[in-house]
Amino acid sequence: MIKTSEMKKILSTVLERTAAGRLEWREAAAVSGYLVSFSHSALILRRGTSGNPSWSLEAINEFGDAVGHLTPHDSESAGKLEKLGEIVERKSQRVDETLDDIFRGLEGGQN
Amino acid sequence: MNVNWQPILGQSASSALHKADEARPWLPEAHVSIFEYFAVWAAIVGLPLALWGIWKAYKEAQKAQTASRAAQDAVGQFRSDLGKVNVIAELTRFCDGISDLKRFLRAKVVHVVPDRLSELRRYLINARQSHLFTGNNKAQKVIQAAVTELATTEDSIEAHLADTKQPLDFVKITREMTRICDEIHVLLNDARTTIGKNDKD
Repeated sequence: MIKTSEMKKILSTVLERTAAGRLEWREAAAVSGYLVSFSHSALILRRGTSGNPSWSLEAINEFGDAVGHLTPHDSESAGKLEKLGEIVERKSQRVDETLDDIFRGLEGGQN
Repeated sequence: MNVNWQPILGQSASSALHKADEARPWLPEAHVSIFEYFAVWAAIVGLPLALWGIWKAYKEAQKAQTASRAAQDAVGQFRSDLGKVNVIAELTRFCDGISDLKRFLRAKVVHVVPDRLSELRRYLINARQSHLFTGNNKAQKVIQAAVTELATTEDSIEAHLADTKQPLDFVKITREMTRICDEIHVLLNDARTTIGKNDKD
């Protein structure tokens, strides 16, 4: 299993790359959340349940088994996971592009 | 004192030898046997013949080497094609399996789904090990995403079977299965086009 310290390192890198638009997240099929895949591994960002709305990060091996898990057990991880969740949701729903297009349309006065 | 020197050989014998030398003017003064002359001529003619023989043998060896290399390449290509056919078979089985799976999900026949999902995952893991996808990062990512989706879906369905209160979004799962199948189908088509093509090209 991947250690918590290693998962925290993954989280920092993932947050940085996602913010820079270098990771392509997609909505997961059977879980509420998003996944990004690499050649022989993947990461799943799970949205918490209604009782526990915080995000968690899972590392998946080449066979699809979870080999690492990071839950928001400290304020630093919680903040980063929350920020990552927000960025991933915005990017997967193309919120920024939609807003840009709406404002461009409004400025140009076209419909 | 008068000494009368006499030749050792008689006059007649000496003149006979002289006459014999005159009868064979091509021979040098030193007496060489006919066999030695034959050996010299044989050496003069034999050397180019030997060189030609060596050259011919070298050419034949080269031809044999080229033929052997071509045969080795053909065997290698056949093995490679066989591997590709296996991958195509695995990916075709995967796409057929996804179609069956979607039918089960629509009919809400959930109890058979986890086993089907793990079987489908196995097809992808087998296909990924092929040399066809070695170094193809895009294909590896597509396969990894599908393997991850299938594994998480399997876990969710198992959880749903254990406790039916666990929610399961059939529509979303079916839609994702279609997307996975479409992505794998692209790899399948790519694999089909490589059959018969030289891997070195």
